[in-house]
Amino acid sequence: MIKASGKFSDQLNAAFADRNCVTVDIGLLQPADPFLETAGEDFRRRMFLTSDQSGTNMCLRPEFTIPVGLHHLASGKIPVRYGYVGTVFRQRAGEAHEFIQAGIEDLGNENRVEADIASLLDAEIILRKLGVGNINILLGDQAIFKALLLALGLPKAWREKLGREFGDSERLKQSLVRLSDKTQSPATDLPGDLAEHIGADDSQAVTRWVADKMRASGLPLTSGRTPEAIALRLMDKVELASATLSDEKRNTLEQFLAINAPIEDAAKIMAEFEAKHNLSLGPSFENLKARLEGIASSDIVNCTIRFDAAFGRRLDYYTGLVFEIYADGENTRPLVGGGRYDHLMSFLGAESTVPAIGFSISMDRLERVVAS
Amino acid sequence: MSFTIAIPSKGRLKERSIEIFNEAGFRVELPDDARSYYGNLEQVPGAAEIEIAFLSASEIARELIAGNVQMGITGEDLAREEIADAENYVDFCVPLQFGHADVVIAVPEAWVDVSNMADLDDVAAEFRTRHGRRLRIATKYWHLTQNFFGGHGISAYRIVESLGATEGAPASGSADIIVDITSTGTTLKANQLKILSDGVILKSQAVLMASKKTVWSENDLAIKQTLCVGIADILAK
Repeated sequence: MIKASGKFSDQLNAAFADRNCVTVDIGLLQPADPFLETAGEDFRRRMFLTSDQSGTNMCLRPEFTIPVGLHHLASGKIPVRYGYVGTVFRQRAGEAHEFIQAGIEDLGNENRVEADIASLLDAEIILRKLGVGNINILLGDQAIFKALLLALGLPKAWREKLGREFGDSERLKQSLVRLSDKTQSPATDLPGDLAEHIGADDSQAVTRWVADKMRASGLPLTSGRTPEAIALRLMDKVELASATLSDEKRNTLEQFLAINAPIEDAAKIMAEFEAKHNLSLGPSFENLKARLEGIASSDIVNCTIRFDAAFGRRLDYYTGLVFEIYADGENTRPLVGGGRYDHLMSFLGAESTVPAIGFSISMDRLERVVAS
Repeated sequence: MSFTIAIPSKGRLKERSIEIFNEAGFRVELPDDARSYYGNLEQVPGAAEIEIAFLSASEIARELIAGNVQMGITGEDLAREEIADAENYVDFCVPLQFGHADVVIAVPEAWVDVSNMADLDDVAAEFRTRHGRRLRIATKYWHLTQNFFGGHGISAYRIVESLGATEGAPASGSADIIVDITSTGTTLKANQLKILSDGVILKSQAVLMASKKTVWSENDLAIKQTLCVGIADILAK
C-alpha cells in the first residue's frame, strides 16, 4: 500500500478512506501489452516505451485503470473500491509528459445505478475537498445511442459502424451523409463464380470458395478470420450495397445527437423525442433516467450538470454512463474523465462480466485551477 | 562548417544519385580508396568545397533530421517514417523521379469482403470479439501506419514489427495484414495479397532534401539553390 504523494496527499488519503476505498500499490514500470491490447495501437504514440533484455515491451505507467483492473483480477473477485494516486507518463500536446493522476475505480458492484451515482459523487467530493470552486459536469451515455440505432431498425453493419463512431461528431456526421447518399453505386468487383454463389444466396458455396482461396494462399484457416466470417460479411455487404439511410431516419439521428440539456430537463426532452418519433428506446432509456434522477437528487453541489446525447468515449470498453468535469470557465481540458467500462475486465481476461466504473483526476490541471 | 551532401552508399540509388549530379553539370569525385565513405562534389559555382558522404538510405534520413548534413538524397518514405512531422525537419526540395515505391496496406486476396479502409475498420472492430485479440499488422513503417490509421479513426489493431519478408506474415500467421513498400506489386501478387483501393499511404520516390535543422549561411543557401535549380532543370528536360 502506498500513501498519496505530493501536495494533496493528506486530503486524498482522507478522502479515499471516507469514501470506503482501499489504496493499491501499482508499479511505475508496467508491461506494455495490456495497454496496447485494450486501448489499441493509437495509444502507443502517447506512451513511453522501453523493453527489457528478453525483448518484453515495458512502459512507464501511462494510467491506472488497466493495472488496477489486472490487480483486481489477480487478487480475487469480491467487489472493491480502489483509490490511487501517483505519477503517470503520457505524451500530451502542450502539457507536461509527467503528471500526477488520482482516481477511484469501483469494481464488481452489481448495483450499477448506485455505483454510477456514487462515482460521480466521489469525484465531486474530492474536487471540493481539494479546493476546486464551481465545476461543470458533462454527462453522456454510450448505450442509449446504440438503443436508438436498434429502435430505428438499422442493419447490423450500420449499427456497428455508427456505434463505433459515437463520440466523434465529425466522423459520425460524415457517415450519416455517406449512408444516405442516394447517388452512390458501390462497385462489387467480384469473380464471376463467387458472384453467382452470392446471387444464389448459397452461403455454404461462398464459404467453400473463400476456404479454397485461403488454402491456396497458405493462410491459416483458424487463427484469424475464418472462411465463414468472411463469407458472411461479404454477403451482408453485397446486400447492403444498394441500401441507403432514409432522410427521415437520418433526421431522427441528427435530432437525437443535438439533444443537450440541463440534467433536470434531459429525461423529459428524451421522452418527448421518443414520442415525437414514435420510438421506444427500451431499458437503456430506463437506465439512463434512473441515473439522471439519482444524480440530480444526490448531494452533488456547486455545479451545473448537463446531458449531451452526442458525448461519448471512443474506446470499445466503455458501455454506459460517461462523464467529464470541467473547472468553471474551461471547456477543453477536463479535470476529471470517467465512465462505466463493463467490457474492460473481460478484455483483461475475466471469464465473466465484471461491473466497473471509475474516473481519474489530472492533478496538474487541478493544481492550476486551485492556485488561480 | 563544411557543406555535406549525403547520398546512398550502394546499389541503384547510389548510381542514379551520382548520375543526376553529373547530368546536371556538377561532378561527383569518388574517393580513391573504394572503401572510403567520403567523396567530393566539384564544379558547383560559388562553392569552395562540398563533401559527399556515402551513407545508408535510412541513416541519411536521420542525419538530415538531426541537422548533421546540409543536404541528402533518400527515399521520402524513410524521412516520413523517421519522424511524425517530417516537413518541420526536412525540406523536400526536388523529387528525383527514381526509386519509386508506394507504401501500401495489403490484405489477403481471400478477404473478398474487404476492398477499402471502411471495410478494414469494420473488420478491425470485430476482431477482438471474434478472435480474442486485436487485428495484427506486420510492418516496419510504425509511424506511417499509426498516422494513416489514426487519420481514418482506426485504433483497434496491433503492429507486429517486421524487418524483412513482410509479405509472408499473413501466411505464416504472425500477422493478418501488412503495410509494406511495393514498386510493381509483383511480390504482393505472388503472396496473394491485394492493395486496398484507398490504401496507398504514401507514393514515395527518391528526393533531394535539405535539412531544416542546420544553420544555413548565405553562401550555403546559394549553393542549395544552385543544386536544386540545376537538378530540377535536368529533370524537366
